[in-house]
Amino acid sequence: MEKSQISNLVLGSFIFATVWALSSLGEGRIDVYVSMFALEYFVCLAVFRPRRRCFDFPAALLFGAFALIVSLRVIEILYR
Amino acid sequence: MLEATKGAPSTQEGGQGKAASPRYGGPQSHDNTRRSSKGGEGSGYLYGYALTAVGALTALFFWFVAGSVPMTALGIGIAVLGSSVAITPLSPVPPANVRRMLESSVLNIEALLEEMDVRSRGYYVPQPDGEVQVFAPLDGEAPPAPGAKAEGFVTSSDGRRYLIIFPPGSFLMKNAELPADAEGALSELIVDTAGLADSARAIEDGGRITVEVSSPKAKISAGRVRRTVGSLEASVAATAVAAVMKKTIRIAFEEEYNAGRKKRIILELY
Repeated sequence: MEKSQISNLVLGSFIFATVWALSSLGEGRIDVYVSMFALEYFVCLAVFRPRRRCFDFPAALLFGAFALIVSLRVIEILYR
Repeated sequence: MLEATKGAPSTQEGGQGKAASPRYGGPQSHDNTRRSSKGGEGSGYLYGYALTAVGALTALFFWFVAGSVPMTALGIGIAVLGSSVAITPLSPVPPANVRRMLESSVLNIEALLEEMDVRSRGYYVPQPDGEVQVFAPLDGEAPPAPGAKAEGFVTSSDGRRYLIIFPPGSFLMKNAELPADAEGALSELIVDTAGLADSARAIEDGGRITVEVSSPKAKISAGRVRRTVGSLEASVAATAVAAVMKKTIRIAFEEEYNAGRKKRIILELY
């Protein structure tokens, strides 16, 4: 199996495991899920280095979402 | 210093592989090859697009209608997975087959070198069209002049004759969009495209580049080819470095160590 396919397989496993685990714990904040997805995506990217046929826009979107979530949290803390 | 890990090849489809990373565009191949492979690959990418669409619709539905955060997250996750599948290139040629093709091409070169009685190490010279050709000295061991062009079977440069050889890795450069750095280019060709090793890394030190390859897989017994063109791993590495850096390269030294599990190749820049 190619490493790109392994990467997608592992990513899918991580995502489903994350949703199952966090929902079992009663997590109700969507930003927690998105943050975990971003983390898992970049871990798979770093470990497997899958091939890409164009610009990696999922990575860009996830990074942007993660940065936004972190910024909102920091603002929330600063202005509490 | 980046290290590419074991993997399998993927076809080069053009476009940028990594975000914000300059790419070297290799010589273009005929369109026939690209056209014939596009039809089959289109259906493969359809699954990715469909998964992305399903995930996005699921997320929107459960967020705005059902009001369920876990299911919304599941939809987002499916969309992420689908988009990852959609941008992953498919690979019709397994690396083992590519490696066998390279190994068989060496036999032709061995016969040619024996016929011409070539004994010196060859020079990997990048050509204006982006290809890399090996200039095997027929008179002495001096390198060809900078910018030497390969014209015909035997070419002359500075009054010296050189036998022109297409290195085994030259066809891998066809339609290849390689990273602009030497290490990225050679590791992508050696590990991903040709499956010649599990990993490859390069260290540049002045006028030399040391390439370390883990678990080399190609076995060549042709003596003249090893002496003139180098082993398959060394040849592909030299081809990639010459193409990316646009400099004449010579394989100065190569050795296997750690019971054949690692190989060190030293390339000289001219």
